Amino acid sequence: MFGYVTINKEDLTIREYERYHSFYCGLCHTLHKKYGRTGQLTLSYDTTFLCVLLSALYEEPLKVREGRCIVHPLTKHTERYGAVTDYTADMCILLTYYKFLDDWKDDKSRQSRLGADALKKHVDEIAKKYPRQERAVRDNVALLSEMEAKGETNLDLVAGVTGRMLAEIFVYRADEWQDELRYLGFYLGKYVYLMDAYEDLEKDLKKGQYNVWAKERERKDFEALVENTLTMMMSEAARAYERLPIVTDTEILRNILYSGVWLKYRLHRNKLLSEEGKGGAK
Amino acid sequence: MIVDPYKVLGIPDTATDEELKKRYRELSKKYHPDANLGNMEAAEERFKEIQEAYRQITDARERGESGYGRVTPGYTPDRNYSSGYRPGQGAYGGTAYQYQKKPQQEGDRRTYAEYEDPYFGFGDFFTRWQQSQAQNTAGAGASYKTYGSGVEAAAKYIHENRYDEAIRALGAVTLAKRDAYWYFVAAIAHQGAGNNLTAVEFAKRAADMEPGNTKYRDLLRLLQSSGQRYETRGKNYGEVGAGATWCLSMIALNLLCNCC
Repeated sequence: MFGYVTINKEDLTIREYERYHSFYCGLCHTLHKKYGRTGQLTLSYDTTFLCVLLSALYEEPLKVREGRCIVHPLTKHTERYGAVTDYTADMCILLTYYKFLDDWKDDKSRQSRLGADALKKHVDEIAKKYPRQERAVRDNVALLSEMEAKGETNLDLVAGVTGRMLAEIFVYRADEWQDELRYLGFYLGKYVYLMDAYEDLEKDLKKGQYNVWAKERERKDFEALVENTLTMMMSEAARAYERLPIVTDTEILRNILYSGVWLKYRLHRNKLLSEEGKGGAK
Repeated sequence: MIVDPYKVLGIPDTATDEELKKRYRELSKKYHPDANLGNMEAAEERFKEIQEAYRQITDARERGESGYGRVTPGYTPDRNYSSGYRPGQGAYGGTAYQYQKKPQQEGDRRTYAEYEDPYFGFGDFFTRWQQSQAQNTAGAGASYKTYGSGVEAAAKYIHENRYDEAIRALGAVTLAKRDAYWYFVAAIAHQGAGNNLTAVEFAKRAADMEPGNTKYRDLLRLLQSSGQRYETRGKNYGEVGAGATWCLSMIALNLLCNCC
């Protein structure tokens, strides 16, 4: 997806980092096994987070395997995967497919069209297995497109669409955990959408393209508004996490929710500030 | 409400959050109906009680209170959740799209009406948000009454966790007639619907319009409290270095970077 929901490596122990890495590699391995090279391209940190989260919540048995991968063929690494990883892999395909369709609709990008075509048959199977999630992704991608075309400026409303989409993805099964997971997914989705829009703001303004932050841009306290807004989203997501009775991999999950998600934001801010310092950008 | 939730879980009220969670997991597994096929009904009863106890304790701890916290309504997860997702009716302009579910039986959920709570029990948004996700909006059947429009109608919808309808009811009030109380009720409705930014904005408006009103100040403080808790916890983590770039960080992580 967007890659914001990731770890802050500096604050993890080596062991915790390697464990996180093993989930990432396990997801990559599963995507490759089920969906080949194209499948692997749908891998992201955001879905890796989901994988770690659900694995910790359900505490289902995980296979552990030493493997090599195309990107780093010289070193062996550990892969961890289980039923939850299979589910997460399917969600990766779903999200990427609809993103491709949406991009193709917007920019007529040939790459997006090819990507979508390559994934279509898999999506059909996934849709049969997970109709609720597939409907959620399909409907919300369409709805978001509509809202953006209409120039909707209400932050809650627009971000809430991605929120609702992610909320359903986070609900693995219709069981006793679904509401907490839905809440977590919803607010994380809102965070991700708003963060992505914030990062693209300058570019969108230049190109005259839609951006949900455009209306607020001229405010003197714009930067404070952005940070406060993003914090409000993460705080709700974190709240939901704290309510879940998760006792495994809590350091990794908390690292992501309280620190890692801010990595790109801080880097983007540093970049803007240094450009300002050089008298550029603003 | 359970009088002694700690007793239900069999732990002292000094148990750490981790001990609480571990115990809850243990008991959930033990009494999950799927694990008690020969005795499903009794197991289910106990399971619900355990869930309720856990939720109550979690709510109270979240509010920073010791003991049993404020009264919250019971929550029954809808195990009959079907994949009946479809976007709700209505245009934009403040309404949220909602999931549709099969109608629940009358009496499955206790409503706020049973509790003496001038704040509509707003101290527990989480449970209320959950319950609103279990709603079936108008047209699904006789289980749900309609209350028309206006602030009082909205309050009734809020009592039943029907936030989407509350927002619609509030929308019928003309701008000129929107007083502090309107903003107060609207803040609660929007928070319930997941529009947390709007909720804070409206709570601020209510508090500004009637500065002496402690109820409005309390709501604003409550809505902002999770942000504060989050920032406190966030302080445990280090700052990102000024010279770092995204791709360098990702290379350091040794991970596949799809962006460059």
